[in-house]
Parts: sequence; C-alpha cells; structure tokens
Amino acid sequence: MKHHIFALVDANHFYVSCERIFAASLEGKPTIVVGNNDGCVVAVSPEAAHIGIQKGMPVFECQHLITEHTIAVFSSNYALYQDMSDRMMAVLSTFSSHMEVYSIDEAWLDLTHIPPETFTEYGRLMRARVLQWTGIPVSVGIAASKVLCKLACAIVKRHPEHQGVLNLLALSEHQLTDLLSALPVEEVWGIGKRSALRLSQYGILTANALRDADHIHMRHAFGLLAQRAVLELQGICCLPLVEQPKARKGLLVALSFSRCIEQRCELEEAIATYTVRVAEKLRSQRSLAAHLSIFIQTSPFETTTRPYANGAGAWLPFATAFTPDFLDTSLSLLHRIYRESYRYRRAGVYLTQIRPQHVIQPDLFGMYSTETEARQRRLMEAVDGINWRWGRDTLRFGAQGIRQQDWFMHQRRRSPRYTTRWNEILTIS
Amino acid sequence: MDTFQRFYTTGFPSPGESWRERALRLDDLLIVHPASTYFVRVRDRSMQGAGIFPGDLVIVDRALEATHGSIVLATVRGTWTMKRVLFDKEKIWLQSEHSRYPTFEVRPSMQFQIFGVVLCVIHGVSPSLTLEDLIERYAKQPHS
Repeated sequence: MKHHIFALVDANHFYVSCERIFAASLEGKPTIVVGNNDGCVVAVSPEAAHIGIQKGMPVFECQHLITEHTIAVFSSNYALYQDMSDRMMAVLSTFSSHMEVYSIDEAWLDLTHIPPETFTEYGRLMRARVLQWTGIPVSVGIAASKVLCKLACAIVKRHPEHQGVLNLLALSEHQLTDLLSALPVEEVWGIGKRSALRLSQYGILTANALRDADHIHMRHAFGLLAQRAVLELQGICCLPLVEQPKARKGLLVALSFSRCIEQRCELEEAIATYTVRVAEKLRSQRSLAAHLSIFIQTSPFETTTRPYANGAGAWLPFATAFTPDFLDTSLSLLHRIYRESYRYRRAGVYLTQIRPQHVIQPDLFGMYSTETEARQRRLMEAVDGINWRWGRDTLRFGAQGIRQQDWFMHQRRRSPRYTTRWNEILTIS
Repeated sequence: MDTFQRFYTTGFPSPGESWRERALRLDDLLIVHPASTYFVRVRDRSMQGAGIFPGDLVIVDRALEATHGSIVLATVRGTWTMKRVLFDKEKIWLQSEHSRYPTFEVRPSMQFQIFGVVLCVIHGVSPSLTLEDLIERYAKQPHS
C-alpha cells in the first residue's frame, strides 16, 4: 500500500457554531439545536454538554434543564448549515488537490505531497483560514491513516492545550503509546460496543492494546473490520481517500412528520407533497430525471411499536420534469411498499439519473412525443410561474391533499437563512 | 450559461462563434472570495457620510484584512455595528460617518469582534423598482 498522510478536519459542534456566526452574543453560552420537529437534540455546545444535555436526547427529557439554565434553543436550519458547510469545504479544497468530503462537517485531505516538517503548521493554517473565512472552529487531526486521524481529532476536541491541531506524526513513539493507551478501544473507528466487549475478554481494553494485536489473528476472531482497525492503528493505510465527483447525482426531499402517520391516504399526501417539491427543484435547475425512488420508515427513536423501513424505485419511460408523471410513479411505488398498522414518521422522494433539459433522448418504445413534451412543459411553466409569483402551493396537485397538513414538520425556532434567502440576510439597525 | 456552438438555420456556424465571450456578471466582479462573502442589509444611518444609507445592501468579505480606514462589520458586546476602524499604535477606534455618532475607542471589556470588511455598497436609485422590491421578489421562493 502506498504511503499516505491524511488530515481530518472536523468542525466543532457544527450546527451550534453555525448559529453563533450570526448571533455573536451566544459565544460561551449554553446552546442546543433541536432536530426536525423540534423533537430531539441534534447539536450541543460544550457549555450545554457540561450541564448534562446530550446529542440524541428527546427535548421533553431535558426541558427542565433548558429552563433552569436558560439554554438557547434553535430549530435546525439546514439551509444555513449546508451553505456554511459548502463554504468550509470550499476553503479546505484550496489546501489539497485530493479531498474527500465525508459529511456535512468533516472532510479528509491528502497531505502526502507536502513536506512532512510543515504538517502541523499546515494544519494550523487550515484551521485559521476556516475560522477567518467562515467563523467555524474546527479540529484537525493529522496521521498516516484515517483511523488514527479520527482518534487525533477526538483528542484535540477534548484537550484544548493542543489548540485545535494534533499531528500524530510529530510525536515520539513513547508519546503516541501514552495517548493511545488513554483511549478505550471502543473509541476506535470501526470498533463498536459489542466488539469492544468481546475484545475486553481478550484483554484488549485500549486503542494501544489493539494496535499491538496480531492483525491476522484479529481477522479470524473478529473479522475484516477489526483487522483493518489494527493495521490502521499501526499507521498502515487500508482506507484510501474516496473522492466524489462534483456533479449533482440526485435530488432528495425527505422530511420527518411532526406526528406519526398511520393512514394510507395521509402517507399518500405526504409522498405527493414531497414529489411536487422535488420536481420543483428539478425544474428550477433546468433538468430532467429518469429514475424516481421513495422510502418510508417508522421512527428510529420509537421503541414501543414495530420498526419498518422500506424503499422502492422505478425508471420512468423517458427523462422528464412533468410532475404528474412523477406523482403516478411515486404513488404506485408507495402502494407497493406500504404496510398497514405501522406508525410512519419519515418519508422521502429521491430523483436520480438527472439530465440537462435540452438533451432529448427518445425512448425505445416511441412513447416520447415532442408535442406532448412541449405541452407538458408549458403547463409546468405556468404552474411554477403562478407559485413563484403568489407563493408556494398557490396551485397544488390534488394528490397533495386539501385539508390542513398538520403532519408537516415544525420548525418553531429556526434562525434566518442568512446566506440563502435575500429577505433573511443579516440586517444591521 | 451553456456554451454550445450555435448553428444558424442557414447551417453555417456563426462568424462570431470563436470570439464569443461570457456576458458580464456582477458576481464575477464583486465576489472575490465566494466562501467568505456575505450580504448584509443596513438600516441605520451611522455611515451615511461614507455613502451607506438605510435600505442599502453591503458586500462583506471575511477574507479581507481589516486595515486602518476600512469599514468593518463587527459586534460590540454581541450587538452588530458597521463602522470605520482606525488603528493608532496600540489603540483601536471606531468612527461613524454621521455627525450624531461620535468616534469611540474600543476597550477590551467591549468584546469587540470583527466579522468582515465591507467591500462595497449597493444603493438603489429607482423609485419604481427599489432594492426592497428586488429583495421581495425572492421572499417566497428560494434562489436555486
């Protein structure tokens, strides 16, 4: 395996940090962000964590703490977070020609072509520039493997004396051993609670102990993931950088419902609404889509009822942007996967096989007709034009439902979308 | 903007095809560092003398260094403010461009934090199509 050096750049309490950029008075104050439907905590500032609030906690469980300590609460503002993430990744992309955007707040960079003696300084530079350009504080871990990078970042976040950057390659063998001996094996990326339990029976309790293990033996006893973890801990890279293409591969509209949905007709309305939304997005970027898939699932947090999650997809006869075609498809897919007496909490509609509008590919069966296509396009343009002028959903499709959609998600305390809506930008008075 | 070869219905390519240049866009001129550029609405009068009027839009760039005399967007004790920043040896001063607002020195207790440097201001002058009208156009739909 070629020798690689990676840097993992991981934003600190990302959602909270995004909120703090535009609300400077919050700096240092306990703050949390609550997820779709304001139901559970999705981000916690260090001050709030200190009080005892944890990611994943249902809001009602910590309401008393929120009131007692006047913790600032925000509804998730994904439009803002996604844009800030894009900015952060844009800044980082200038530091390496090979980058993997891992999640909304983490990215791997390949530092192999940079002089080793400058790694730490490079990490400090990246951290400083992200902070200056976006206001987001990040932690940087530098090592010869992804698993080690992850550990380095975890250490950086807990120990402010590192000042946000930890380069494991700059440590002596002795220092590295000390650090890894202080980490429980469960914290190693790829080792879950169950594996950790079994490993403890072998006497392997720390990351360091795992590093010293025989990787072949680990393969037989625990499988490939464990073997990889051992090798990566030894600084042998098994997980290469996965660079994604920049092109937008799919469009997704997926939202959680504010309450469970059991009735098929209500689920149909939800799927229909999401279908209409995603088709609007598609047309706004002048594209067509040839494949549609949907998914429905029960709440992952509910333990009282049976879990169920399913999805289905279908090809459209030809690439289109005509909402009624999408509606036919998504609703028939729903009939395929819907099961009675489950309490659904989330659904999504996903369009892929995206093509630009002006590229026409007639289908094999000759169902495509330029006349029909032109008529449909004019119809959708009219609908979109009216909705644009008078507001979303001025004209709706029957399948979306006429009644009040009380299952649509709540976002009671969402901050303005400072960077994606002209009428919500920061205003100084 | 697609750049595709245009064939006129005569069947011959356009003589200007190889000379085609991209049309001017304001983004290209005014957004120097997209990742660090933010737009802000101004509603106060304190910088009128500098040509920033209530209702104007300013372009703020966090990547620019705040030098002596630059107009910055900053927070003072968590409250937003837009002022000209002056550096005098070890001291920092914030100056307004309006007779009613005095220049004041920044003290450590003020928790002064610069957000970014104001690059330029956009001021609408048409009475029939104001900046407000233009912003309202997007009030109901996201820009995609």
